[in-house]
Amino acid sequence: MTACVDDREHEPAVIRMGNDIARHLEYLPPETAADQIAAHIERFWEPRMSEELLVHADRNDTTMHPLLLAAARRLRPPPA
Amino acid sequence: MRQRGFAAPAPPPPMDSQRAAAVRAIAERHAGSRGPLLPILHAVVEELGHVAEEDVATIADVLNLSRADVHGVVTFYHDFRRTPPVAHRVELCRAEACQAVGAQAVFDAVTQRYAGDEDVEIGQVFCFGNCALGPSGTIDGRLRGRLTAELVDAELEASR
Amino acid sequence: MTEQTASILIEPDYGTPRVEGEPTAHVTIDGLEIDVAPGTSVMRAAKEAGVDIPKLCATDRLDAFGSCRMCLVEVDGVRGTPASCTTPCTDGMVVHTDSDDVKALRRNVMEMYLSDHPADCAGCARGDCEIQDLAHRVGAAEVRYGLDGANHLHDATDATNPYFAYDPSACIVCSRCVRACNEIQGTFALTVEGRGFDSRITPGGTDFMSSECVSCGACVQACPTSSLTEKSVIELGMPSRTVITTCAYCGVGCSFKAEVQGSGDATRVVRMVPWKDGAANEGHSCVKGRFAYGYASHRDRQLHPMVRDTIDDPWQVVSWEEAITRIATGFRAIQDTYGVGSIGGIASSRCTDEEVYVVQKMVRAAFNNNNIDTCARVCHSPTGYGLNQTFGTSAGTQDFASVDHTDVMLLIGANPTDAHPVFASRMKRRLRAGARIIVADPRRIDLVRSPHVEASHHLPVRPGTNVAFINAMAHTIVTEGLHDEAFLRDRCEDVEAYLSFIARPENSPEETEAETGVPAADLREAARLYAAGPNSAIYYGLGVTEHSQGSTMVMGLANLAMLTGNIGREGVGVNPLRGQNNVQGSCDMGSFPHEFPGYRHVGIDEVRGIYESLWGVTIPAQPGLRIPNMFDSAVAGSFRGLFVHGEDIVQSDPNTQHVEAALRAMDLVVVHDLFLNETSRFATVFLPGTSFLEKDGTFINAERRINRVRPIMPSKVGKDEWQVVCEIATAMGYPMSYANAAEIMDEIAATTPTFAGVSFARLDAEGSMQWPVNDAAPHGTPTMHVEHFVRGRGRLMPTVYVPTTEATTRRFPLVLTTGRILTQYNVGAQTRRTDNSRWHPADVLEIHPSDAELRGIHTGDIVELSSRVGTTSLPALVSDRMPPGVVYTTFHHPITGANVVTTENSDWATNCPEYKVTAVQVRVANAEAARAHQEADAVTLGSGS
Repeated sequence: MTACVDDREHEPAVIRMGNDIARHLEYLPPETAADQIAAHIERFWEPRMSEELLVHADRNDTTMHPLLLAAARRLRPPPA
Repeated sequence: MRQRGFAAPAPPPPMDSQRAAAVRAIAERHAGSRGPLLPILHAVVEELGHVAEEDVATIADVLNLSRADVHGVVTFYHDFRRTPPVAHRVELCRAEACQAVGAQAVFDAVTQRYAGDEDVEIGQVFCFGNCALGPSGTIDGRLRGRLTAELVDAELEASR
Repeated sequence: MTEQTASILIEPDYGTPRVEGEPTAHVTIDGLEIDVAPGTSVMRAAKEAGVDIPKLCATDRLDAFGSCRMCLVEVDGVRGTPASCTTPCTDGMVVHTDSDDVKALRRNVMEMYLSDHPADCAGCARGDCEIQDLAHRVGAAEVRYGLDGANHLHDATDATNPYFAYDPSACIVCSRCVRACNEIQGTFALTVEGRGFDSRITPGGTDFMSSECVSCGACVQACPTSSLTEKSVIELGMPSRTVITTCAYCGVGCSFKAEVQGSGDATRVVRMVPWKDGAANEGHSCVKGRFAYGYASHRDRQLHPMVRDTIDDPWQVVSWEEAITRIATGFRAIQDTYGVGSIGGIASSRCTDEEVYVVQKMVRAAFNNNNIDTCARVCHSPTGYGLNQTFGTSAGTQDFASVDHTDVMLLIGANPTDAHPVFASRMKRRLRAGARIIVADPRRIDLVRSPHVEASHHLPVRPGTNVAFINAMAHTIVTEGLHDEAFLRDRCEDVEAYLSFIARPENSPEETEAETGVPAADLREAARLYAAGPNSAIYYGLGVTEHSQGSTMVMGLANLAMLTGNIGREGVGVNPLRGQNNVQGSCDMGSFPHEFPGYRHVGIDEVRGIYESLWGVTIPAQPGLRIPNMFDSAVAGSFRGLFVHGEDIVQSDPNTQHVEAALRAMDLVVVHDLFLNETSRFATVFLPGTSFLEKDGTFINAERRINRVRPIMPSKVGKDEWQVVCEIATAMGYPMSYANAAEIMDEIAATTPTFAGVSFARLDAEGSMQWPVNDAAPHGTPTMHVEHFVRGRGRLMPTVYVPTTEATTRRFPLVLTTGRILTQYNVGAQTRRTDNSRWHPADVLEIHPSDAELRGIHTGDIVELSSRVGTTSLPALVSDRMPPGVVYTTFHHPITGANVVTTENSDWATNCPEYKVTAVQVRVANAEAARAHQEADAVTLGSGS
């Protein structure tokens, strides 16, 4: 879930930025939202940042917004 | 003090807030009419005696003019006096018809006589429309014709 | 078109403004026949026919006034001698300008002027006074009144303004200055006081510095005698040469005549005078471009490359070669250890297009990555994203002249009278002519109410709630049936989904009122006004973009314009007021981690292929790091080298502690700048840069207008900046060189379709051009999206309001928003080193009286401003311009450290920092903090000009 405001300066930047994108696309149907979040990351994020996010996703990091997690899965399916 | 990116060089003089409120009330009373600035200035002089420096900003604010705009109008007309009125005011005509019958001499004499007198102010007007009875003038608002310096003195005595 | 003259360029003055219309009035002037538009003044027609009628109070930038009585002429069939400036031409008119009677009259009038003109007039001596010129022309050899009559020769000079002096003894009360201040600048700071012989020009009965004057210099320019003169002219004498160039301050991009003395290294600027043919400014200027150019020769200016081993060591001057070698070997060493992506560059939004192009080329071709970004990141990157999504273009849709056809302006999140003053003057002129303005801003800015201008609506939108506000506007328009169905049907897509979204009750003015603080009734009226037009235009600034929903809000503005069909003609559109002189250009030049020049994504193979084959390198197809990402990665240890070109990120970027930590963590920070700025405290290599007076290139303003920047003098540091960058690339193993800046623009034109027709030669011929410039639009494109949008159909994007996470709390109950002021510019690097600091020597915190009273704060108190990330202190100003609950400051002085308190919050799409919403607390500073602030302040001011 999104960290509360006081934790924002302490959470990893990729989680904070990714969750921000998710919250702003939350209004879309979940599948569309996840697609668009993934597309946004692909279009604008540097690969190492995406990689860092995907590492968090692989670990099922609970600080990730569910739509962000879903988007991450589209960029790289979860490890078997 | 509005900060427009301009730091005030010195603190402004303390505003008489009662006066400012009075001036604002006068200005707002006339603000809706056409050409409100002159009626406002007349009313300020009539009700408060003169147009003070700080009144300019208040009037400008109500009418949404610049202070320079209002300053230009106030200084154009002698009747919008800038200093509080004194006890007595004499206004002498200096226009051509009165000049032809000696108004200049009257003016010079009266001005000299009351120079330094804090209670008497001498002003000039260009035509009261009383040309047949020149030299004309008003003493504390009373129009008189065929004036001489002595007659002015007498009128002032009567006022005191 | 002469761009560089061997002598002073004097533009012809036709006396009265041009009148539109067909030239159907046939007039004869001194036997010469000419056709003009009816209503053109006789004076102007004469000038156009080649007859120069003497004048003093007339100038073609102002309406005719008719006070000086020099321009009298005879007209057949008309009694007497009318003034030619106030006499309109009619068909068949026959005019005589030089009969014996007229000549005698002129002499007589001249005699009167000369009877009250100083015999030792300094302006006459300089050749700067039209009285002297005219006296010679009309032949007033003697003054029959004598020179001992009543006069004004002993009136005292007012030299309180740092840049110009007012000497009433030379004044002829032609009132050109008063009219310039009224009609052109729109400040109304001057007037004629008194009457008759006692008439004198005055800035409202006080001196210039204490008056309402904003020091734009229009009066000085208008004055025909030397009564109002630049102090620099008094000191240095008259200039001998003109170079036409472009201002280096804001995004208006005013064209100036740089009037100089000397040549080569000995060139000296005497004054900067606005150029009448400048398409962006049409002969007007503001205090910064007009007068505040002294920073270019300030003693703080660094002229030599310097290096040091650590940031705690003193700087050592070295040769260019040594500095460049250190940079090249340093960056390569970092890449060898930490990987290709461990270094990057920040391009400047103040430098020329050619310089920026070369920096992004260095990063892509020599650094071999896409880690290039620019300050647009922190200001208008949401404009790029939002307008790209909706229209297909990342720039404004109109030119400035468009406002002359606007009926309703919606101004949101911008304060043009402070930040884009010359354009604001244009807006005010249009407003005085009857247009209306809706101002959406938490503060009561000048355009809400100031002399002669009053907004129809001031909607005090609470910071952070913009999207809720714009949704309520659109909701009103749609649910009341005020939208343009034909336009939506013919020109847009995704219409139905948007209409049903916006019509939802949660988007109504009534339901959003509690959140936005805007009364529903006012909002509805404003929305109706905007929809009614007929021509409605949106003007916006960083109060829209610097938010966590900045991109969403830009799309919201685009939606509003599309809903009402306000696109594709003059007088309408979506107009971002770009901040910096070349932030538009910097973006256009691809200084973005994800885009090449022309806003083409790095992932597009055909586009990447153009650069790869031209440059002979492989370029990554994935985006690089944005500036905030660079800082995060630096702290994490993976980003270790940074080339900072013409930016002061330590002062301008949010969350200063974070920025400083990032820079400290790096192995090599290189700063290329004019001064040792805050960022250079963390650098180990410093390269001296060139000011705009030394640059040869182009700037692009908010209108997409490409303007020439021409060198007034050669580089003071021995090289041009683009040369330095080429040498760094070459030293890193990628040979890069150009013969001159024009060649760089040629490469830009060859590779960027929107610049295809651009070259220095074309710009010199046209004056300036707005991109796109191509075969379809060989002279440029003033208005965009005329037939269709750049992306085809305009896309309506649903804009759901998501509140910022930056909510006020009991600990931080106030909201801080930031902005700019007229006399200082951005981080103040330039303006603090000029006399502009006389006006704004410190940033102050504006606070509403009720908030101040609660805290025992009075104007002048030093207060402590704190947020969850930091604390700083600064003086307070109690002002009811603020709404309760909101405080405001500027960030022009490093000592203020306004960015010590701003946070890492940013726009979701672009990471543009949310400067405009920070939860803060304010309290009176304790004595110790106050003293420390004052001491530090004194040190800073002492090192100023």
